[in-house]
Amino acid sequence: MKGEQDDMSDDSIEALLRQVGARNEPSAATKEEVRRAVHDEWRTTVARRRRRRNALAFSAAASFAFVVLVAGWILRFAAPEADIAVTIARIDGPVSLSDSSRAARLGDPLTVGASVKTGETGRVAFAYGSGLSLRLDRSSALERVARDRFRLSAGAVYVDAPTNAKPDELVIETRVGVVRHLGTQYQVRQWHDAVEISIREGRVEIAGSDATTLAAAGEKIRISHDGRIERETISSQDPAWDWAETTAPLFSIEDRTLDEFLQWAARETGREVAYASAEAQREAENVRLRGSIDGLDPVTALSAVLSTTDFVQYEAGENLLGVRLAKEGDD
Amino acid sequence: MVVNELALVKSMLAGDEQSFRLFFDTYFSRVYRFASPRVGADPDACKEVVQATLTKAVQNLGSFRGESALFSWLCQICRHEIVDYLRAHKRRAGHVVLIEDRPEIRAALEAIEAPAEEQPPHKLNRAQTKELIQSVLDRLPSRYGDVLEWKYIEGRSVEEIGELLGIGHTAAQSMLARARTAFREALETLFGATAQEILADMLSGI
Repeated sequence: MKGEQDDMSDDSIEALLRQVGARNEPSAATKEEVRRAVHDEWRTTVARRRRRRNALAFSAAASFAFVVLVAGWILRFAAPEADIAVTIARIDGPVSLSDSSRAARLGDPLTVGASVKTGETGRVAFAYGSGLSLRLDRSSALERVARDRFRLSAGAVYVDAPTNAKPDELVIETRVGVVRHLGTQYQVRQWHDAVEISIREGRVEIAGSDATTLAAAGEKIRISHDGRIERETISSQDPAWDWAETTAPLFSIEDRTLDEFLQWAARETGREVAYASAEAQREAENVRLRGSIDGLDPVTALSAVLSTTDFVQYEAGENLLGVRLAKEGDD
Repeated sequence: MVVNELALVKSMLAGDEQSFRLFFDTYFSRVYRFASPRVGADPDACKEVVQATLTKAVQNLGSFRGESALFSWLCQICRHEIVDYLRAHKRRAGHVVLIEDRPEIRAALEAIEAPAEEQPPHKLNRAQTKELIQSVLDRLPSRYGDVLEWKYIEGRSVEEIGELLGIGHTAAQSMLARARTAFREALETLFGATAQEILADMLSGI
């Protein structure tokens, strides 16, 4: 009886809310503008508060440890604000950073205010914060406008935000709006008359000046500069992802298990690992790898590594990386 | 995802980015909707007032003691900002009369956030009822208002709601159940009636 009442009540809540209609939402552009201003003020307030608290601690302890505390105080204030580290994890071909006169190298940071450009044959991957990857295709330009904001002015950027990574915010600004990820792999490509956002996994939110659009895995959404939106489907195995795979940050296999390597290769190629049996999975978790796959893209690395083990690939489905023990196929 | 307001404020004071995001995403739209009709639905004025409100709020976070709900505290700041704005722009607020600004309704709305004694029902017309229910959604704790709107107006699935909030399916389902309960109780507090009775009243007034 209680269940019936609840059902009836739920129905009436739905009917009432539909009658009332949605509340007005301020525009995404207004929201972003206010967010930026309030965020800046908040950071200033927090920094001021920290300084005040540290100064208080200093004066309380000054009577017995003056010299030591002065040193500590100076060190503390000399330290920069916590930032998100964004460093080059892979580089292929000509790539330049605006704050450096030489060609970019592995390990170079992309600092706030600086931008990165790739030449006609250049591609680059950045490690971002705790586990995210940011990759730039050929003939692309990306500026780091704030610690967690990037502005794409040409070409394409690919973002890989694994679900087990810390949720560092990463926002891509484009001519048609701001793209924010909700745990995902996606790419944003800037065309002369439109911006194209393709989602391989998860979801993204695109906040334009008039409306916010959500797009989910398997969708390619094209937003013209005049605001027109077109949607189509895109497979996680579509050739459009190939460039991002070949720009995958280097993966060190030394002393990693075969299972760890397979999980990496599967993610980089838009798939999930499917073991043919529990025994195969157990074995893969126990096999430890030695050597290096530097310079190989994930697909080539997969073939190279498996050829040194007792495992082989098998057809398990479009979005699956099927792996079995070689002997299982002999049965 | 239930917002413990004092804990949220504490971690914002400690400089936690996630908490700032949660604060902004939870309260920005609500404060905007609070301000909008009070500045004559002028979008520029509204943006200025809301930005000033939230800026003042983050500057004074240390003074928030949790004695009222965080949203009530923000509304209080917003009221002052609106008065300042109207004074500075030599505008009069007299023409803006909102149902939710009536003292008895305002008290009842604040009672939704900190339940006290029940208020007597009021005879309202259809537009006023609609306006008030939208205010109720804004006054519900956490992001219950958003969850109800996503589910029942936008028709989103529990999975989608979970993804929007960054929580799992079970947590989203339980949040939706808590949101329904809070909404029912709020209607009872404010209107002294169930959703079904309010709906019937609205439809009979067409």
